[in-house]
Amino acid sequence: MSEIKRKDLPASIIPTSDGGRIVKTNCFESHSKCGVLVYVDKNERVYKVTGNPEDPITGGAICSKAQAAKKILYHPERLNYPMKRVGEKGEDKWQRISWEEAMDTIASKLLAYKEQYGPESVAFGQGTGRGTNQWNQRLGKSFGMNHWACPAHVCLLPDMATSMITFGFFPLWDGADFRNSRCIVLWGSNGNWSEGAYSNTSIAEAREKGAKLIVIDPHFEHPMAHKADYWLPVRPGTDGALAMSWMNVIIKENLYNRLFVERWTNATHLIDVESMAPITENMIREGGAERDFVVWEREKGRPVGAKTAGVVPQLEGIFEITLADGNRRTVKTAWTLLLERIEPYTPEKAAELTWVDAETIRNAARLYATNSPGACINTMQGVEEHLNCTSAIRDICCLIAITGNLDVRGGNIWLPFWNEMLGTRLTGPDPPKQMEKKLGNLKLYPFSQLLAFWNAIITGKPYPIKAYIIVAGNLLFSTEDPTLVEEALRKLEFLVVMDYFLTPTAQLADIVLPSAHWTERDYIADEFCGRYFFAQQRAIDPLYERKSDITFMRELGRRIAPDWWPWKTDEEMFDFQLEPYRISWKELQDKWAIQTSPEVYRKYEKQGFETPSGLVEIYSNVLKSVGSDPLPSYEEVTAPTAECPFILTSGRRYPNYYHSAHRGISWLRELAPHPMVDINPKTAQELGIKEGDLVWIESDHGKVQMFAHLTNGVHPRVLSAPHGWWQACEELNLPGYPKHISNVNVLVDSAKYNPEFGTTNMRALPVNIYKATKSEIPGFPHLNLGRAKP
Amino acid sequence: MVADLERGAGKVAKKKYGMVIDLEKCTGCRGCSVSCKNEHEIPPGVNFCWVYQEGPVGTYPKVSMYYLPRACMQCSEPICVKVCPTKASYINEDGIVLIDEDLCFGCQYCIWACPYEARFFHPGKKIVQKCNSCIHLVAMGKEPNCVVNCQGKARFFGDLNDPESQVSRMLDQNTDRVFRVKEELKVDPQVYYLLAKKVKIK
Repeated sequence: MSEIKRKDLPASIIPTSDGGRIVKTNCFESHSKCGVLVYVDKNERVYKVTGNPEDPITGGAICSKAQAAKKILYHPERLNYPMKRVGEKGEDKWQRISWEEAMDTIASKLLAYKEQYGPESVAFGQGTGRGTNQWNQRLGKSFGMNHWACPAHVCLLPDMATSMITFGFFPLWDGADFRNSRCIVLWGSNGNWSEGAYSNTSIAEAREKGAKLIVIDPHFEHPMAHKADYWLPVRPGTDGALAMSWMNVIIKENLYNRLFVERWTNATHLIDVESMAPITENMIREGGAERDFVVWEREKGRPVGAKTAGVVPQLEGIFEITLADGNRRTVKTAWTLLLERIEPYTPEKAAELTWVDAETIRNAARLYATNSPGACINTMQGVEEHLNCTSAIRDICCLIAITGNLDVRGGNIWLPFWNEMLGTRLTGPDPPKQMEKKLGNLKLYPFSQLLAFWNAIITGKPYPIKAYIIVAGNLLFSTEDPTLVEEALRKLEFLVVMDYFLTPTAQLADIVLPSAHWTERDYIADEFCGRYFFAQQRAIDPLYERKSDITFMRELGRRIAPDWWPWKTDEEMFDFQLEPYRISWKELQDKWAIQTSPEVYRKYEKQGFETPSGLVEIYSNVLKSVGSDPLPSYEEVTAPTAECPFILTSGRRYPNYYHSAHRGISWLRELAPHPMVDINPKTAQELGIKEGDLVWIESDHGKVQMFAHLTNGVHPRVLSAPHGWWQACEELNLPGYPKHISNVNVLVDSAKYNPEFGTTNMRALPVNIYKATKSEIPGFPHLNLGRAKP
Repeated sequence: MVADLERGAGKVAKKKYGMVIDLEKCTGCRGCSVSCKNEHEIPPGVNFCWVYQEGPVGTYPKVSMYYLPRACMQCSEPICVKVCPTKASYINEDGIVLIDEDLCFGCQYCIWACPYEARFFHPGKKIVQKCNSCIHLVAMGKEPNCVVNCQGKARFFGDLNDPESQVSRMLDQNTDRVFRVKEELKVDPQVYYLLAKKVKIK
């Protein structure tokens, strides 16, 4: 850098005396976006990444993935130039092309498809969007159809949508106010490993101050299970039964927050017993509002509009009422219906269903309730990736509500960005006929169902899909039934993939584009940042011809829908995103971090809840409107069979990997070199399986090979296996896993799914396990690993 | 902590740098292992700093486990120094066990002698290497990189000769939880552990 340039630097970039600089930015290797200092030498080379002590959340800690930044940045197998396919699909023959040619080809193809087949013939998609969800959706909407072909159905959308319909906001993830909590419940979530520094540092701080800890996870090798006051090793898929049982204990022992329930939930609303539909004001009174609900006035013993001034409603009860048209109805309050629902779920009954002993269930429920308000529940994919996820998440949401833990210090808090991220200001209005054209028949999923999307590519029905643009997504490894995905991607006319590496998904592309690493690009760190935004700025300019994913999306947008994408630079687009916060990108860059939401609690007292009733919906009007069960419930979904006697929970986390990324990075791979399926030693002995043995795991849908790891941490009938294994690590001479040989998603049937969100059964899958006699892993014939290295 | 290092910087009194690792707080994230790689040139397959998972022991569901981060124990009576034929291994004035790379000729006696398996042979340089407590950072008043980046805030570094240092105070305040690995060898390791609260060793 010249002296003049050095003077113009934002305050977040600190020149060093040796001609280099230290850049304050944020890691991108998980959603956590931990604040880091990137050290750049005078030759523009990144030589070190360390935590930034000014980070208001992490205080300067970072995980292994962030530490490995320079290994990822300079990895010899990185994609560096746009390339087009010259051989057959998947043949791995490429020719380097210019960005100009790539962009011209992509834009002209997409516009031609639109002309001939309509905008629905083109889809945009991704893996996890960390700062790009809004822009990827904007691409689809601006083009004329938002398929958003991505694995949201198994990642975040069920959690997010279910809490949105119950609360009007999403407080289950970074909304869990760990740092200030008196009791932390990690329910099917392992933030300590997957969103490392964010969760670790704040949970550590809370525990230092005496916070209690409850871990609900089938696997004791969860990093916090052994520290917890209570560990509840729930049978996979029975989280709903456990939540119902907690409600049973909490309500029967009168540990619930009656004031909150009466004032801020719709528990007092009257529901018609026969139709299970809510009574609305127009039904009881001529001229009554069609959208206002009805309660039972305690004092005068009559049904009145819930918004009638001065009315004290009855919480519990069964009543006979006469409607305005003279018809009689039997009605119950939503609370009474809830009480009926939870009645069977005593801890003893739940113990049979969940395999957790009744006393532990009772004690944990009491611990949570007696530390409320001020206790938080953090849920994630462990609860989400089930066929019964809607009811399980709903049950947990209701639990949070009845204990009054919503938007209170240490509870589950409101954060602005989750409502903003998928809102129309950033993503734009829905295109005409979005809901009619979206593929599949899912009740509450606002985008195309992946299964229907793959089938549309293969069959051309209900309409042809011709092109698919994937930015940062390895769909062959992030969603169920990869053989179907592969068939579809091979059949597809035009596939574009932008990524760090030539992933198995990228190998099937017609054009591949090189993504810039997070040290090479500018983003706004927005989602999962709690009460903050950060300037996730570049430390160096992009190497070779790599580009930021956001730059690509913006430039493609300008070519296919210029009215929607007026921004000539990323900076202009960031300025647009930041408008509500009255700060520009330059100013954000200067400050590095800003607080977007003040530490104010109980915001619902002023703004209510953005739900149909304006209250927390114990009875969900949205679920009722789509024909689903409006009340908390538990449904048993999977049962082991004679052929598949074990329950496999897939997707166990590693602290050093992120989904299907990083097996090629030596510093990370050596920490977990092989795909291991965890099995109880007693079961293993019965099956003649020893530590390190190569085994087959087989479901009614397919089979994969992994190595056995014997652990006392899982139930004798439960197995736990990771996802995402494809990449080889040349530096360590460790193999890759082509042809889905260790891709656990092979086991998951795409035809069985949750009716609201299309979520498949990734976490409670009936399987069999047996010793393999021959390795299918190319170049890795040995069958016994012995004891795994630490 | 950094304040301790700053406070001690101008003093003449003899230092004894050491580490306290609180196992109640370690979450097995292996951030320390990679932060060490980030700071030092270490060949693939070698770690100066690593984490054992001890357990789960017991019968499901009555099980327990803990993580045990490991590195050079910076012994005050180090066997590796005693066996080194060239005096390449030595203890510096601050109590850190170091290797003079110019004097080491790679005989690897020290690797055999070290009871903590903390030393490694560098196949390229043909010498022995190990954790040096990031002395280059400590000299600048900073903490070792594994301490700086620890997500669980489980690692603490400082002068054990200074009774006011955080590490000394932690040891004083947690006498019921303090232990050292293989203490019976009488090598006086300067890495102290605080037991996880739910774990009883032996």
